[in-house]
Amino acid sequence: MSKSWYLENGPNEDVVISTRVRLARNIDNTPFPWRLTAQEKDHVRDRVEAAFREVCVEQDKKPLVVDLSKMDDIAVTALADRRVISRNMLKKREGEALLLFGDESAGVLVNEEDHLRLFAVGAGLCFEKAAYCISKNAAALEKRIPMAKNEKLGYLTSCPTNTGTGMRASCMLHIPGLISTGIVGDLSRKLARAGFALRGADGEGSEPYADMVQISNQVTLGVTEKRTLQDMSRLAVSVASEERKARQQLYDRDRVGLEDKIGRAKGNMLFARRISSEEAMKGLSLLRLGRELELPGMPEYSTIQLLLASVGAGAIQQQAGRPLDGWERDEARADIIREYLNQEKT
Amino acid sequence: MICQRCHEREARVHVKCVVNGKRDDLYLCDYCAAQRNIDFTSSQMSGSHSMWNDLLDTMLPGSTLFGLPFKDEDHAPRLRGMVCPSCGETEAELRKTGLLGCRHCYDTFAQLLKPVFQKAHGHTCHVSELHENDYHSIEDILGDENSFTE
Repeated sequence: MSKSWYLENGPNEDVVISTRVRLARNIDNTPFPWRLTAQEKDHVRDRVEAAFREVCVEQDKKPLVVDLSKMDDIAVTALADRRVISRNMLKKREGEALLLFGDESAGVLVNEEDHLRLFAVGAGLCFEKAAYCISKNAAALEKRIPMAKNEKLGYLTSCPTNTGTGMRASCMLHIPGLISTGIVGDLSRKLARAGFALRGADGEGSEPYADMVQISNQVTLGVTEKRTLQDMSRLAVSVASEERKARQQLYDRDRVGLEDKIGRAKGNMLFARRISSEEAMKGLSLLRLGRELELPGMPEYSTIQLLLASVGAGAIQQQAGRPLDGWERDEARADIIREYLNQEKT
Repeated sequence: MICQRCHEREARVHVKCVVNGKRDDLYLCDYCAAQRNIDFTSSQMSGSHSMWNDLLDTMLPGSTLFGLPFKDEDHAPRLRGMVCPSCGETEAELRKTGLLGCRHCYDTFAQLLKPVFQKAHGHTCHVSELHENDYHSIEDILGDENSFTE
């Protein structure tokens, strides 16, 4: 497998961690997944997988098929830790599958809320790249499987909040400046009025952690794909610009205080023997802020990204190869963080 | 209780049959009931989990569909107890889950969906620059990689 997408460098990476575009599609003349029996879901999965394999041959990509219903909880949680699947997919996995076009940067989730949820992700602010990739995959699949749509409503989805383009464009932002200055609340209200949502890092219903939030479009009907992507891109650039100002204000207000806080976080990360998940996330957020402020001795963005993807409960237990209790996880987490940070120094 | 026909979905319809003077009870999900062309408006339905109970529950004052307050016109008798002829989704299920069962549900529940679209999207019709079956044209629409920030 090639280098993971989240280890790459991307535009506006000092604020925008990653970009994701997804398209919801349903097979024509087939009830949507929640109306299907297990057997019918298997049939849908087989049909999508067959088309997916043909597309992979056409695009010269290695098809990777993950049967989520047969994976153990640890492995599925690890996928969620890397944000390949959403946390709400951890509960019900019957008949669900994950199909990847060569690596984890593009794929299709089968039998989630809709028959197909195509996605494409990338590092930094990269809606153009993600949209190009996902549109190519969507076109290739639709050539082989007729999708439910009509002229009046566009693509027909299980939930009417996705009807139309079926497109959800989102990006993950690191905004410690806007959060600590309290501007984020105002920003969230303004975005909601304009048809966009600001949520916690895990999407709908989640709280912000590690100063990370997600912004996404809410409107999918009566607006074109191009317009949605343009708006999201402009929005991200504008939020990034505000965040940089807020950070500078924080830094100017108490330079030594902020450097002290970041330095202590690094010391903690390097020498602590047990680190809880919450502590790790807060610490990594501070190290990221240190990097963003170009302070000396701060880890590369790719190392922080690697750590964010590696310190979740699923990822840690997967690496250990067995279930771990709370204390064991905290110890393993501290070991991983220390190892990665020291690797970078050498 | 699980549907006695598909053995998959929750049974929500209780059908009482009398064959040769012998009474028989059949418990079906909405989908299988619709497949058997059972008339939902008939008095055959009973039981605490019947569709009617759900329907009545959702019609209590202050109940909502996707968080939208009902207007009186939403309660027009002709809309009550609608069932998608294709997948068997009932209006009560739609109100409860907020999810449509198949493409035909969009026609069946069109009147209910209109205010939902208006509230969620500010529009009730799709606009696409991507012509049907011509998705490749997005490459032309997108142009070069800087086209979004202009």
